[in-house]
Amino acid sequence: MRADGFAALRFRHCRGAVGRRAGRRGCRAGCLRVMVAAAVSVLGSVLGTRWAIAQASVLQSPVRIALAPSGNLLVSDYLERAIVTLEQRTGEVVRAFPVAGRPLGIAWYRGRFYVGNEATARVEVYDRMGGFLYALEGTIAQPNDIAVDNRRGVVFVTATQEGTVEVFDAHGAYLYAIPAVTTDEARLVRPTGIALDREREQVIVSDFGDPAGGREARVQIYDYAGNYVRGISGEAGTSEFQFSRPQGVAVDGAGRVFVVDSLLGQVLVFDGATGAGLKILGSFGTEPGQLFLPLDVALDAGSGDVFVTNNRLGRVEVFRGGAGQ
Amino acid sequence: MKARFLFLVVRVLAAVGGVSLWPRSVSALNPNHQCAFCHNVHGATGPALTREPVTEALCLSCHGPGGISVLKADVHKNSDRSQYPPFRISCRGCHDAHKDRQNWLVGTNLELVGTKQDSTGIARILTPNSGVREVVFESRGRDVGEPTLHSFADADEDGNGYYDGVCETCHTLTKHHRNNPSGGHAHNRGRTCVLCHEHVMNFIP
Repeated sequence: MRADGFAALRFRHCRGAVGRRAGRRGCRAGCLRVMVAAAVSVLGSVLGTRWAIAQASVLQSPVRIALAPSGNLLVSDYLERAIVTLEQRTGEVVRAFPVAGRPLGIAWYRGRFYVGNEATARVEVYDRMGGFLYALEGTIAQPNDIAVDNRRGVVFVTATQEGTVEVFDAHGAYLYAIPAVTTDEARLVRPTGIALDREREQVIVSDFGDPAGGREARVQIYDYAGNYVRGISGEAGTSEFQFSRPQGVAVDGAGRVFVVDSLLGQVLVFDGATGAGLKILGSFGTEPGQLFLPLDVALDAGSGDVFVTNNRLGRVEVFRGGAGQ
Repeated sequence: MKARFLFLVVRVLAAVGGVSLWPRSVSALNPNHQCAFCHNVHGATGPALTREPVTEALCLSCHGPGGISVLKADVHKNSDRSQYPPFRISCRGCHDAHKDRQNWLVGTNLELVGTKQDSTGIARILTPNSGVREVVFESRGRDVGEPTLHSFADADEDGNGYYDGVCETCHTLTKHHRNNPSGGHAHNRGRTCVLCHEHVMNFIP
């Protein structure tokens, strides 16, 4: 991160540019915003302020985000009904393709997009041009998030309504469910986000629990076979590291777990081994670098940049070097 | 001065007593998310001492994309292609987060529709162009599980000259189902509007 401890890059959206064509007036206004923003950005750099603004993109309701091996950002847009690929440094749209339904989870594996479609209740596989190929076996009421282990060719999907993580091979055959054994501490209630720690072969899952009572929000950690390893409670620790509406999760090479709290508008960073709170990225609000219903987080291991889907504001927030110490 | 002090003491005791008597009203929430998360006693900008954007985040953290509720919703906006200026109505424009309100037909509205506008507490809505109006959103049991005309657009079903369905009570510029006799009232009469105008898609068809 920068010396001031915070840097954010935001991709402004230009509504309706994928599904419904954006109106000329809207685009003109959007371009004007971008020009003003760019000028402010340059001025900000000169003056040493904490944020910059990138080029316009097409996001309306960004939900999940994943990094492709090329470094491009893959974003599912729930209202735009599309998968949008963004160039990481500039925010420019590389490509976008429509999804018939409501896309949630998104992952990339060997030139194919894996998309969780809430409307069809299945995980659909598309080729690199957005052509539908096939769906994974069976149905999942809300395939909320997807992670793929590229070395093993195994696909993990959070099934929010079923209260499980469903595991498939890359060709779509069903393998097993997580947790393997449903003890009280191992169980999932309403899992949302998912990430894989490939070094330790662990599955990290965020769980809403039961917001009405009975089970607090948690981050649950399992081994690849689904055996419970440990959990991070949303009600443990100091109040600043408590959470109640966890969404996307990510993990870095050091085993630190990044958790999005969609309600408080923060990304909380925990030591994955001890559960200790380490730092917080972002805060609730609508200004650059602030988050209003953030839903997912992705890390660039090389640059240490952290990318967060900022749903209500229709943009991706970028914390330059946010994954650093 | 003494009276004011006693009044303050009573208020504090009442507040503490309330928390003790109805612990679930606060204990259902994370310690971070007590009353102050939605309500801001000092410096609030919204009605009922609320911080409006936070209220929307609170609702949509469960009902929005990726949230755990199966009842999906988003704010009410008009289409990019609309000939009218853009508008945006958030959750509390139509819903009272705290209770289902009785409507003027002496039924109880569904889905927390209708807000308190006066001391009667009857479900009403502050509309953009027509002031405060009655709203009715209930199933009267004609079809099991299905709302009746009164629920979405009543097309003056009861012949009282008042259009109080949850969709039409605000509308004055739509092509169909305005809150007055003008325009068309036959469009999918008796049907469930949200089958095409989905709540989750900003009610845009």
